[in-house]
Amino acid sequence: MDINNKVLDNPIDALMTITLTVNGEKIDIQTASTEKLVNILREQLNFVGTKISCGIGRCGACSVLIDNELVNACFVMAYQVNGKSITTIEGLGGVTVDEVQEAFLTEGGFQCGYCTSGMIMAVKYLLALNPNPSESDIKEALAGNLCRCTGYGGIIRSVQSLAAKKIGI
Amino acid sequence: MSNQVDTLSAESPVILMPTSIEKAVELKSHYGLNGEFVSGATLLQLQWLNGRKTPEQIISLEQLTELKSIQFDQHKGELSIGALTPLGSYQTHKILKEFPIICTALKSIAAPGIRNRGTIGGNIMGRVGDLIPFLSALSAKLVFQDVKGVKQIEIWDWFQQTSNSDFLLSHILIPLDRDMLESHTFYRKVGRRETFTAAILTVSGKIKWDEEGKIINAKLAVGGGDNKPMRLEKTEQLIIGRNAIHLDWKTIFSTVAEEFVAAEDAFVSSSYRKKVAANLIVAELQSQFAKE
Repeated sequence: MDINNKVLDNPIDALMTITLTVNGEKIDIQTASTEKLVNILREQLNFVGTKISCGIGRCGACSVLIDNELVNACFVMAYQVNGKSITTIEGLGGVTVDEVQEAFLTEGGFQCGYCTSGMIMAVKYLLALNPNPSESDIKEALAGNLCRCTGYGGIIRSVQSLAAKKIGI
Repeated sequence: MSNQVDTLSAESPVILMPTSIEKAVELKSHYGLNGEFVSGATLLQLQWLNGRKTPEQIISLEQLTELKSIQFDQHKGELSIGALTPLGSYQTHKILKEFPIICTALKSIAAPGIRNRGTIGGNIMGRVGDLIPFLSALSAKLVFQDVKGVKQIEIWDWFQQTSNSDFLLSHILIPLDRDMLESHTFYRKVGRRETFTAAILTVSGKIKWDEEGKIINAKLAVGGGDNKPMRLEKTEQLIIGRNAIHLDWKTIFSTVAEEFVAAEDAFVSSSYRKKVAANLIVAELQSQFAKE
């Protein structure tokens, strides 16, 4: 039987090499096959803007984009991001802040700030899919992101304000 | 205090990435219980963290793009959904968008970040997903493949069988024919939070009646969260053949509550879940038959 149909040839209990692009920079790393993306980002690559909270996909603090799709980095394993492009909060904006970050600053879209990077990644994903979201759309898009300060009013206002600005209302 | 998310196991599984269904089932046949089919792994990772044995070989299905296709056969009135279709596809896939009841069901599962990773097939094969009662009510069929070939089975018949993980779920076939259009179909989910937490319960049904108001077909199912998915066959028998104007709502309520084997935990009692399920089903029936 041919069982050579492997792309990732890692012996059991050994590290594997994966290649991923993080915020536009191509990186090779050695890791365990099932290591969590959030640990790779924070511990190996020092992208600590991606936060850890629940670790089981319920709070959204670790939200990042993989190939422009929102994911919980605590629920993505190393082998699953081989060859993928990751965008973290550090990858938004450039010399200045991103427009979503600007909206959060202007409208008071954060309190303690722990959930903010995850919220902002979720909003980036929402506005890419739906540039003119209703309040219901915003709540649905942020359903997986928990603000323990309960500052949802400011967060929703930030999204509404930015969307209105972008579509010229 | 550790500043890391828990890793799954001291040992890292070997990752196998077959590029064809045939190769995937061959690998599964070779490795048996030491190999596990894995795609998004949202539910699986939770289960592994909760003590389920992590496989020695992960047979990743992520390269099987043929299992992500969605097609509607107008002639047969059948929607075919590839098992690896992400739960979040309802947002962007033009065929899925044409079927609001399917979008409603998919949208109710977890939250956007999880729906982009979790698959429709994974929700079914985990044997606890919200889609099982929904697809049971719709009489959906599952298409499985192993090294011996392909087989089709109605989802409710499959669910009642002993789990056989050697089979790879390739497609879900949903009849969306004339019968569907002439029926009242519903899906309702109750939970604590609209995110990746277990539902309190999910109910679903498909009811058809004739021109005189006699109910000629009924499929009712319940599940979600820790509730084992089940068809409410006693309630179905109670209403089939009855004229809608003669439905006894109290008897329907008590029959649902009696036959639903509801889970119980520290937060939600079994009797509460029974009451909620009965209320939802009676409300759905009344929405069609108690207008006057």
